[in-house]
Amino acid sequence: MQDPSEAATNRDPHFVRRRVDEVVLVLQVDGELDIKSTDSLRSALDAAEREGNIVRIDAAGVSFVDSTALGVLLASAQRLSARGGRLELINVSPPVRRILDMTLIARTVHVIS
Amino acid sequence: MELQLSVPATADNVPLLRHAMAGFLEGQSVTGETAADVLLAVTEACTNVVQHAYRSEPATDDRQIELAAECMDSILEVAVRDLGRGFAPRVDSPGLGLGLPVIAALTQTVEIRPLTPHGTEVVMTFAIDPG
Repeated sequence: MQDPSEAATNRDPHFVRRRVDEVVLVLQVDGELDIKSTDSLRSALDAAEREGNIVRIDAAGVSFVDSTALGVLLASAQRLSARGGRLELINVSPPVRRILDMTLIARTVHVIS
Repeated sequence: MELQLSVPATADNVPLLRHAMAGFLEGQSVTGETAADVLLAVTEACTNVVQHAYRSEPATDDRQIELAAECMDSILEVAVRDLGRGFAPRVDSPGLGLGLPVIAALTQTVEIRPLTPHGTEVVMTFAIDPG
């Protein structure tokens, strides 16, 4: 039987940045985004914001998002918007899409189907 | 079948409780959108405990999150408890204040009850259709 603490660790998110051009930076995210991963998500977004004015999160590997993670995404979206950029979310799974719709966060973060 | 867990109220333990809940739901053949709703609501309730319940108290082993779940016919009842001083408005809240509204949107019913001598219990029910 798998140790529950090991299972939790295995789902910690990891982030890969990929520059598309001078403006667009893709941040590939895998794992679960919640209160445990708030700091790592914030750091990854800070780094992405330094490299691109449009930060595109590829969320294909994101299996869970809660409201604390949404707060981090929203703050990033607002920072980018203030300088004429934007935060985009692509490849969003149905469970993640559900909380985005529920909280109306899609009004600030550009969710691309 | 019941689930009963008590762990220190830390951020690291929130996913731990969610994964334990996921295992319980799997054992009850609760899957799909219903399971996703339960896991999100449980996460939000546990996060509230970490962020708010023990904020004004010294760090001790007494700072626990208790998670209890039980299936009764087509109803799943989940309780998340703390032994802290209850919810209080917080101007420096690290979150968006969306936890309780999200819980309310995901559950069939939700009750927030004070515990004696101190603590808070969030009791959530969900309609389920176990396979």
